Amino acid sequence: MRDLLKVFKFEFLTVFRRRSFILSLILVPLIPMLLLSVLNWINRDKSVTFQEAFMQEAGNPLPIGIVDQANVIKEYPEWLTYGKLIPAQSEDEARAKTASGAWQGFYVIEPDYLETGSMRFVKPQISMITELVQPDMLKELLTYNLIGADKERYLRYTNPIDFHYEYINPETADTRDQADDATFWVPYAVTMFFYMIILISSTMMMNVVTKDKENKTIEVLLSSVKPLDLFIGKIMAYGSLSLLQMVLWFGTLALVVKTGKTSLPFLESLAIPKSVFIASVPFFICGFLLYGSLMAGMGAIAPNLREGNQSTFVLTLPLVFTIISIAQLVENPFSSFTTFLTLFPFTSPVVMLTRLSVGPVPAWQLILSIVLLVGMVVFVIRGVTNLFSSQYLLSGQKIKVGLFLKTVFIGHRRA
Amino acid sequence: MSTITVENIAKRFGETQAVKNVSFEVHSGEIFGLLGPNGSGKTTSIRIILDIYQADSGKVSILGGPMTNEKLNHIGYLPEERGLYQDVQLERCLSYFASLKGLSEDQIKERLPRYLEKFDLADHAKKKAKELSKGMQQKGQLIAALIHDPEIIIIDEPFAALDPVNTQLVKKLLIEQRNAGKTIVMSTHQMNQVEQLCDRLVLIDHGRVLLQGKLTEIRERFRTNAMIIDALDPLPEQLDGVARIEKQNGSYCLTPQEGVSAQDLLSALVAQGIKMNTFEVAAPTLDEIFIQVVKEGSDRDE
Repeated sequence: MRDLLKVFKFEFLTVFRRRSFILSLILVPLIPMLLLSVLNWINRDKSVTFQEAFMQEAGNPLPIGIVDQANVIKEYPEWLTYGKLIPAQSEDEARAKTASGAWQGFYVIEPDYLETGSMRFVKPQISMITELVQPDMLKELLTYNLIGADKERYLRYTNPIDFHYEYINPETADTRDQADDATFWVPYAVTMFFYMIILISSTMMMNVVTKDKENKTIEVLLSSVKPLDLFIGKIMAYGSLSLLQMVLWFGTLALVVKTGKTSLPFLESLAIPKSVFIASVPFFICGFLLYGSLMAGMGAIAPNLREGNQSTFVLTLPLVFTIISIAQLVENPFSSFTTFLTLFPFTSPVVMLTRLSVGPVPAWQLILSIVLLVGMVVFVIRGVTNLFSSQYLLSGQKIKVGLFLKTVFIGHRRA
Repeated sequence: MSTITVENIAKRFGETQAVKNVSFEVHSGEIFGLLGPNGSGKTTSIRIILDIYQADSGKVSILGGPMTNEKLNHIGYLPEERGLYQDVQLERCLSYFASLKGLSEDQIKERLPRYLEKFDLADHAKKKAKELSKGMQQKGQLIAALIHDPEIIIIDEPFAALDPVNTQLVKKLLIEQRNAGKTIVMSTHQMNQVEQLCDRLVLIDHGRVLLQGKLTEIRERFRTNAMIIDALDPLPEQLDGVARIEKQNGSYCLTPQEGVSAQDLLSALVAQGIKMNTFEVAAPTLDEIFIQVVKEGSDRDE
């Protein structure tokens, strides 16, 4: 036990003090936070949206005049035009203001507009920003006035349906707003994040075991420490480091989603459910222990890192499968297929979090999933200890994936 | 008193019988040579002694009984496949190895600078192992094997990668340790080092013991009755009392006739007016004994 703690301390501090680890730990969250801070600084007046900031800071275009010869525009509400569309009494006045540089141009709504929709835009030169923004603004202004200059009616016209769903069996129903893009963004992001972090952190376990072989320190270690203590000490150290990394990175992702809404309107409707945060710790730990143990076992029998890496594909296939099936998982979170992957221990560390980011998961599935996962972790660790024997660690034979799987899952007797 | 007793140990890896009925004893206060050609079973025997491998049969007794975790801390081991963490500072790497051998932080702080100074590595303590020369790394590994003041020291090729100055330093250190009553098992191919350092030895080949005993006794056992003389003038083709004359590096190796002793031969040579600077018994070198025994062993196998 004392040796195990010494191994843990050494391995933990060795990586924790490494410049590359500290940089990745800090920079990965720091960069999005800095970008967000810059955007928030631009939008330090909270009432200003990103679109408004774009108009003000990037372009700050001059206003455009409107000569309404059809007499269809009764009102120019500020909440719709932001002072960028201004009525002109006559075409002469509009020309004079454009010529003096006070306006960038003017629209002329022809007298037969209601019959023909005819309109002119008089301008001295093309402006990219106004070309992009102003026509939409003009359309909105016309629509508002054509339906009677009533704000409520206008808002209902632009967003005519606000469905409220009622479910007979909410536990198995897809209660998401199908029209909202955010419905799909969060599960995609959560799936990708946990796939990546479990893959990266478990691969570290193989690197560290093969490094002991390549550095030729393994025999010195084995003359002082039992192979099992070495394995457990290493997996504890790298598990703690990965957990630290996961908490910091995922926490930053959540913070960006929460605080970035002012500057990034697409985040407005995004929210990561609390259940994802709560479940992320046990499912990540179990996912790491499962895949980290398998990778460490592969490292134990691999003569070097290169050969070890070539053989890891088989081990990561279930994880890769979750990414291949990501669309299916997110679109049909309550299908039998998704339920199976939620319970299957080799996919549940990622898929359970995908499911939770979609909505509530029935309690029985949550309990069964974690029980099966913990059981598989114990089973795999026991199997991998067969590989963490001196004979495998000190040999440099070619990897036989079949023998590896047989030893881990069937408990093949040591050679 | 024997601190290591190996009784009939055997170990098989698949189809290969790595060690077969190997037995020997190592006593405190001696340097014991564990010799044998490459792949003879020396390293497997050492690993069985250290409990890294479990023997298929046979018994090993260390410090009066079976190996325990506590006893591992009384053994210093320098394996043939040795190394340091390349990306870690030498000082930190050695502190880690010392802590695994049961030294407290205070003990490490007190001993490590002393050893680094002794091995002329104090100025390199903060360097990463990959920044050190091969010889420096070798000295670092020796520190790892000795820093916990072990009762038993097992070293595999301790002089590999060392220059003559450092070889002398390590030899002096091993002799100091022996004089302090430590048990030292040394495995090497450098027979001149064995001749200079070892008190007793065992020679293993194909996993079995071919020869063991005190170095002086072994040399005596393989001594022939031939004489080496450094003659001032060329010798005639035939001499009284001499069966065969061979020229060797400017000297002559004379094989006396049956029943002729060294004393008789010397008298005969003087009587025949042969002038010489030296007259000595042609004792075989350990290299020659090694080759002879291994060859005989192979011939027996065939």
